[in-house]
Amino acid sequence: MRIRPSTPADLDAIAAVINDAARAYRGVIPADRWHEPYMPRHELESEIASGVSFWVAEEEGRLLGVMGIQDKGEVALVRHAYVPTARQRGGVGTRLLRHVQGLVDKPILIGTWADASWAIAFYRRNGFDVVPDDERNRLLRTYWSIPERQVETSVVLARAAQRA
Amino acid sequence: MSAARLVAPAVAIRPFEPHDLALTMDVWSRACEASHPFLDRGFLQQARRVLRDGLASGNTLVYDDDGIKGFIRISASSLDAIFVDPAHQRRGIGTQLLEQSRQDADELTLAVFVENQGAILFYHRHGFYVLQRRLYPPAGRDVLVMRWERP
Repeated sequence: MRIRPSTPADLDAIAAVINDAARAYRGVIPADRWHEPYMPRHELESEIASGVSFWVAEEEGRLLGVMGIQDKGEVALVRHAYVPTARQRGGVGTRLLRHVQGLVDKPILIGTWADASWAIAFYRRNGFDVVPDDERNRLLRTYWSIPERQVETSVVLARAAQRA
Repeated sequence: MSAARLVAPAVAIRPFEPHDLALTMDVWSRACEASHPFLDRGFLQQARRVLRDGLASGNTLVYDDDGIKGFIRISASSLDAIFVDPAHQRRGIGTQLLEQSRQDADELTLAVFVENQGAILFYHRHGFYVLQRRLYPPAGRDVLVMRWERP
């Protein structure tokens, strides 16, 4: 397995990985936040223009997972981290997470859906904790651009030792 | 194969020469106005002086097609500037300048203002990824530091 920065040639494959993995959200996250495809290609490009760098895990030319990292100044955000359902529990996400952790020398924050229990369990196994609600609200409003409705249905995770 | 291939090209990417100064600065002004409307006048005046002094020191290629349409500055492994006249953008001039000037490089690093999303996408299309975001004190604004390594 190789971790490398994404190139424009990867965009369709990245969108496919995200849209495959995001099917797990259907019926789990609030119905008004679910749409398919979950991440159209033009949204991916707009995220890149906003400074998200996508890293991909690749094996024999196939994309096994994707993880974005967005440096926001005081903190860096893990954005759009997905491993296709069939490849989960194989260490792909952990390799990607360790890689992006090695890139930044500032606290890393991760936002995900409060009901995405598998994602929260993954970040917990990798040393992250869910921050309390009041801190979550402040962090989401400071560093993310999401609708207010999404604030209540999200969680933010941070490494305990790095808590801002 | 057309006969046109046998004619010396009218378009040349060539090193900057002192007589290119005025046209090159014009390209910079127009491109900057179009892509950096968020920068204040004081910073732009300072940037103009830095560029004008720097052009004399080499490391600049210009795209000369019946006048200067764009230029690029690379020193060591740092991409210091790439600007294309807004009237001639989206025609591959930036791509040609970048490809020609990095043909002997193994890596390049640059800084781009976070607001300049068109440039960020241009660099991404050419294999750059974001290393970090940091404050650029002279402008009082944040830049993304982006890096390219030869695959």
